[in-house]
Amino acid sequence: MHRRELLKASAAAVATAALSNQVAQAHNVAGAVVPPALVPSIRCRLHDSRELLLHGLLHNRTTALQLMFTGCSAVCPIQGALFADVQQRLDARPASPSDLQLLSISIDPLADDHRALAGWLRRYGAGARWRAASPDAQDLDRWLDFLQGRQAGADRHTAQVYLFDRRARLALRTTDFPPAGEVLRLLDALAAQAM
Amino acid sequence: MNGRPGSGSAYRAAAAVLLVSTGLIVAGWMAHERHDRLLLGQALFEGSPPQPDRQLAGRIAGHDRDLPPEAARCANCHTSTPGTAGFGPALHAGTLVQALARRGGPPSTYEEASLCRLLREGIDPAWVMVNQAMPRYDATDAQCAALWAWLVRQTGALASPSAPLATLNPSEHDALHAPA
Repeated sequence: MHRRELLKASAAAVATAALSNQVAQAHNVAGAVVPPALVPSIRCRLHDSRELLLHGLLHNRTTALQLMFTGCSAVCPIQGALFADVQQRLDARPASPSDLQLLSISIDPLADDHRALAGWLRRYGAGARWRAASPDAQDLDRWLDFLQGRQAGADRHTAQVYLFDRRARLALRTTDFPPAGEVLRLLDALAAQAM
Repeated sequence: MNGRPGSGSAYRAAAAVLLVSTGLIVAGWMAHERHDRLLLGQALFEGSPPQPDRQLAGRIAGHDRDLPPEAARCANCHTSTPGTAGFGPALHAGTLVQALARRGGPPSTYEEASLCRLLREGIDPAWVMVNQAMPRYDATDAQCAALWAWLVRQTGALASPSAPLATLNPSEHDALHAPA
């Protein structure tokens, strides 16, 4: 009898764990990345047509990064507005560290050449600390796997913001549509950790 | 009774003419108001051309600033044409007035008041909260009324409220039942 009870309890525990896992997977992966994960070697083209590794874009800067594509009319305008708001708050401060940056990375490298990216940045009034880039098409899957930034639906990507430290390591994933003030607070906190 | 012969019938005829004329003027005025309301509703939905008095101010829940108008347009995520779907559900009489199960909740229908609550608070008629991507709008009663009038005049094949539980085409079904 004791053994039967034990088996029933074990089966219940396994079922509960599986259900919890399903519930967790129904939501985006968010929170601190422990330990921080070094960005993979991914080649990309910037909005100004330069080609370089993503690591070079991130190294020595504290970065808030978002996924987008210029043909997106649903959530991407909201994301663009969010980064515009963050930029405005950064610029409004008497002294914002120059190594804080915003980065918008396209998930549609075939359509989003450097001109499309530049146009997208112009639409939102991007300044010097806000850049955009498209990864090489062959690296896109690896990049999305690293970020865990895929989402089913018309827009295909999450609306999270990914925070990278000065060593080009992914340190934190926010939930979708974080408030601009919160993105700024996280950038400041991450930059302060490096000092 | 003293008076000119036939004066009573003249007065009655004049009163009838006055009544009919007044009725026509009122009907014309109401039609004009209805037309204006539809135009406003369409302008609010499409968000173009951008005009300050024809825009819905909206922000993402939990944010402290409104979105720019071009990021908060209904048409960015919704279609109003039956048989089509975008990031969000199609919005027309066929999807609003019909009893439909939405976001995993029980079947529910919209009316003007419940559309207004959804715009302002993000809660649908079945008390299910909508996707966070949907802004919360500072919509006036007049804006709600105009938007409702315009959306439900987009008649689809399922426009009758008395029709049985609706069957959506695959694209409409997927958009309506997308995870929140």
